[in-house]
Amino acid sequence: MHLELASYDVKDVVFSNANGLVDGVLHVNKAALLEHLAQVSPFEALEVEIARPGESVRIVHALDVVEPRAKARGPERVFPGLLGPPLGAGESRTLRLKGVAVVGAAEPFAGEDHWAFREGIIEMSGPGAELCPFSRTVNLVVKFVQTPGDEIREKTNFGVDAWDEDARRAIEASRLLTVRAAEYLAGIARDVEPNEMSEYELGPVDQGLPKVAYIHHNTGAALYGWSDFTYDHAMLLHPNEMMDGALVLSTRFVEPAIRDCTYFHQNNSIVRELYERHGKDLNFVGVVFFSGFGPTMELKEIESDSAVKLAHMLGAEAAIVSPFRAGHSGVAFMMVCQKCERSGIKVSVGVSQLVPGAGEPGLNHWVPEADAMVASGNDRETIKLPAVKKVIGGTDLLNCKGPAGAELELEIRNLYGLSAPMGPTRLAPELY
Amino acid sequence: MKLELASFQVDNVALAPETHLSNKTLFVSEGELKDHLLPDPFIQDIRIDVARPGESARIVNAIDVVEPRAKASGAETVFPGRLGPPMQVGSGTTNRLAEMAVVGTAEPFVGEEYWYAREAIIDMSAAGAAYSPFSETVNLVLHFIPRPGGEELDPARRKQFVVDTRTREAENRMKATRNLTLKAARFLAEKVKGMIPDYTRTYELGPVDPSLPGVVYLCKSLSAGIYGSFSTTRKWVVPMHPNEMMDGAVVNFGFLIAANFRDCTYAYQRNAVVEELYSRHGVDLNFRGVLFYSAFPYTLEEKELEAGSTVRTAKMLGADAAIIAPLSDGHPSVETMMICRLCEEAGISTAIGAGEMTANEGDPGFTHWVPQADALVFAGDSHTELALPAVEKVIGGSRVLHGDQDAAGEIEVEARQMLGASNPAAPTRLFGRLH
Repeated sequence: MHLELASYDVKDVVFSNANGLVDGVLHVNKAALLEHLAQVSPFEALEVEIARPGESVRIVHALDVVEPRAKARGPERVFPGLLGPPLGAGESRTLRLKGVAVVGAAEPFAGEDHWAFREGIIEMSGPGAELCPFSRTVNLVVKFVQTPGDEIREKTNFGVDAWDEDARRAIEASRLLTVRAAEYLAGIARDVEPNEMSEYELGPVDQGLPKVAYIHHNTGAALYGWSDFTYDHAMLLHPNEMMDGALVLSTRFVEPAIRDCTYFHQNNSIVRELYERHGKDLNFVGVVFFSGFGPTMELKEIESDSAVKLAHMLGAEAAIVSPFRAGHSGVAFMMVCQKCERSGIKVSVGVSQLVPGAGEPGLNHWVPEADAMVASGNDRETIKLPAVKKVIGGTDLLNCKGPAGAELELEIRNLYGLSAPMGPTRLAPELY
Repeated sequence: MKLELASFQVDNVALAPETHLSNKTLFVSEGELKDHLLPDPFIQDIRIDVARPGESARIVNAIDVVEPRAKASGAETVFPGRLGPPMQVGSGTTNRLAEMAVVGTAEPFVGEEYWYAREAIIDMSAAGAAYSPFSETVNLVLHFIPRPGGEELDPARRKQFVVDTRTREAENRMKATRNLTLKAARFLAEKVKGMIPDYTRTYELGPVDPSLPGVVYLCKSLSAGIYGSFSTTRKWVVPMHPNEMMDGAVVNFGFLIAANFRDCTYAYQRNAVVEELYSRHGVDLNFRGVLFYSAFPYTLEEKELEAGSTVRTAKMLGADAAIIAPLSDGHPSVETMMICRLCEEAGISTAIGAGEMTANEGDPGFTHWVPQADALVFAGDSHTELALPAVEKVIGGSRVLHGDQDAAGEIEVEARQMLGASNPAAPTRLFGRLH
């Protein structure tokens, strides 16, 4: 599998009469973009706005974040399974707008019943911006608007992602429109010379180098557009597929701080690092993809056994296991670590901490074999955010309450992408 | 993953007061075996009988066939997920009783819509013997008598052609039949623990000359249960070490497939493709593993997903060539051909093991075909009409479902009713001839 990634450095995005990429400025014809999206949109209205680093702007209720990508050759599509047949990810040439993100945002859709994971705040300046990876990108925000007056159910109980059919359809539509916008923007660069070309291929390397697999724990991605996994047997993926649009955010939302949005898959720090070192001090043998959500011990045994077996089938001597998540999948995750170590595969683990109180261990499950951990931040720390001049995505906060533009004090798990261990996060714990 | 398969030759099976292996005869105590299997919430009684090669005997209503196996070391149990926790198998030592099989049979349960695939016949002699590999094994046949209960299917549902439809009560009885057949097989093999095997073979995919072509086996799961369960509509391929498959990780589980193709547990324990690839590993090829793909994603989009997932995974495992088997009819034939095409386009040469389906003269023998499928090995035609002679003894029931014939008399059937007649992954005896 051979992928060419043609990168364009984009320092600003502006609305113009005509599309174009000139001197690092992406000119977007707003009407044409909206028309392109409206062709498949079930929403009453779509709004697009631009948020730039340093502006006194707060984006709220962000759903997915996507880096603009398009296939260089016309008929091919990125995000296969969503925008075209489920084939071709990780191959041929892909165009990429570096420094830009498309952010899909919406207030809760009619029939959506769980708000704890829906704040999704991105600060473009101030102390929040120090921490959020998307404060550094120029963001084109697409807001999905339903007809006012649609009834929004009150949150009644703790049901993860409890929606009715209408809400699920709205979320699916928002996901499709976000990647469609991302493809549209990158397509603008099609006839322009890229700033940088990178090639990705797991070519043969010195067989004496240690073989390393990336065991990726799926906490909420759709693979080729499908998120209804039967949580049992792990599978193999090529890293090129992962970074080239085979993985997009599913319809399942986890906390914004650790949400594995499409952008993080496209720019997975672990894949990049392993590729960087492939042939230098290690042999990157591939990606094992497992979902730890199986609700029974039997399923967890099958999931963890099969993940470790696949790592062995790839010849792995070491593995990076990431990202950790609380709940059911945290248990299966630790079982993978344990079974790896016991069968001779050394593991290091990427986790985000979950520390609700002082003295808490920070993880809901742990095994002694997980002795090399990289933590990417504590979700429950609080942060103070100053008032902002402009809010995009909504007017009011949900479970955090209050007007969205005001001064806020809230837990960092409400901020988008803050402690996702596979993302370019800025948090790290200190040992003392 | 290293598996030692310790074989104990069984030339004959006889019923006796105590279960033990002596001078290559397995003596089976009906009482001990029943005590081990019963009581069961869904099965009231078990009739136990033996059918030997060459005898004038016919087995009808077979569900599954299992080779007796038990773990001596390396895991808690064979058939994990069915008989114990779903922990990985494929390592350590497994004892097997060679040249014999346990055949589980049951007449159609109340509440079962039995379509043509419910029929599964094994003839131990005469013309029919050529149509089943299990005419060559000494068979301990278990005829399961269900507890009464359940209601007949709604007549309205009966009128539709519905694949393998059963009520919950009938499904419970079917599941019990399968589980108890596995449990009986384990019980018998446990009796040789501590004895010296006749021969032992070691299975390990050790490192080989990397210049040898990498070969994967793309195994279509018709009704396999993998570690206890498997979704027949799964869209993602399941890579597996061949040792797991031969050591009981895969059993007959889901739909009842036409008898000629049916993937009995035995066909996974002694898979002809795996045996062949193992024997050539390091000689003229590099066996890279088994990829299970499910047979029944229904939509074209799901089939595309499955085919893509299969071929990319094969590529990642270093495949230069792939054996694809079995090809049968209906939905599964479409994705098999899609996989073949994608493999060839990705530079993986393919060979397909197929059972023919030639209902009429001049039929192509496939439901779907792509030009890339240019290397096919045939395991025989499903629709060959057979006239089989009367037999002295019938086990597993008294009627042949097809045409409601007396099972002891002369019967007229098609090859697809003969268990294992043309499963290209099992040791079948039929093959196509060019003329």
